[in-house]
Amino acid sequence: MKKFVVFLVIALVAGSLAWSATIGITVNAAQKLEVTVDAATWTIALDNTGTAIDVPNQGQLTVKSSKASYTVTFTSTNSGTLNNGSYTIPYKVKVDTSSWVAGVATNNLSSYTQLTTAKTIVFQLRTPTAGKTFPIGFNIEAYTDYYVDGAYTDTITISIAQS
Amino acid sequence: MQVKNTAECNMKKYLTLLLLLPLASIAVHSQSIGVTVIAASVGGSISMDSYVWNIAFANDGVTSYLNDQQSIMTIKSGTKKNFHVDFSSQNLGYVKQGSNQIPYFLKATLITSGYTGIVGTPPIVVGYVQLTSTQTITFNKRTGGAGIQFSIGFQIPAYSEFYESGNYTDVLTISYAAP
Repeated sequence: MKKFVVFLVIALVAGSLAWSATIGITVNAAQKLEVTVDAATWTIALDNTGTAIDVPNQGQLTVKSSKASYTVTFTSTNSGTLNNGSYTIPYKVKVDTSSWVAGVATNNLSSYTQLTTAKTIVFQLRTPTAGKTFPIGFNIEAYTDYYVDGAYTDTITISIAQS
Repeated sequence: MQVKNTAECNMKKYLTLLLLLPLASIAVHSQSIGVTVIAASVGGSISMDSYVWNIAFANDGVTSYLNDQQSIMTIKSGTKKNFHVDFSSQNLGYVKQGSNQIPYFLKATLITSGYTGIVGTPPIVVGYVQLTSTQTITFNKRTGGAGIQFSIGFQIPAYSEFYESGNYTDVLTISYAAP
């Protein structure tokens, strides 16, 4: 009789229990860190008259980031000079980030700067998915001596990394 | 002569007994016996085919995530015909990574044919909903021993801003209760 009563009580308790299932959800949002330029080559005419070259909108740099803290770095293969054999022409670049003041912590290319060493722009906000686009300026200062005529080249590498 | 009388006497007793037997039988059938069967109450249950969902989100601002069958949910009502199933989210419908969060949406689609015990049109059955508050499906029919099955869908819409990359988490609780 006691067993029967105990069974009935247990059955009633089981009948009134609430059951639940717990599910752990993990969403991995992919990382996006990307820099692109509108043109992979720049061909610039130097008239060799001694007049400076200043093209504030030589190229367009677009930055995309899903990280709030990231750094864009500019480096030059020839440390900021265009080379034609042993002849060189120094040049400078700048990146105008004034359109997105809130997103930029430090811009070491806000004015024309020679890439003698790597130069950085440090960001502090994620970009929209369309990215943020900034003009790249190109400058060769006025000169008093002719440059030996011919083609002078350099390669600028722009990289992005999480800070 | 005495022998004959004795035989006749026995015959009369036998006939009398035969006559009385049906009466006795009628008397027995008129008795009532109270029979009570107590069926034990059996509780319902919920089970999933997967209790851990790992979802890769493209995070490109264009591609949404949509899986109409993220998991299969099986509900067994037990002995109760009136019961309800509640869906709740620890983060109120967001997966979170620190202070960053991504809204997500769920849908429950009945895939067991022939079951008609869902009361009304619960929003989570009609379409994808965010669990900003508890979503409930109310039932008024038992499910049978094998239970009924729902396909649980999961959705993250595309968004024009990047989400901070990394892992975002939430805990989804699906509860069965019978009043």
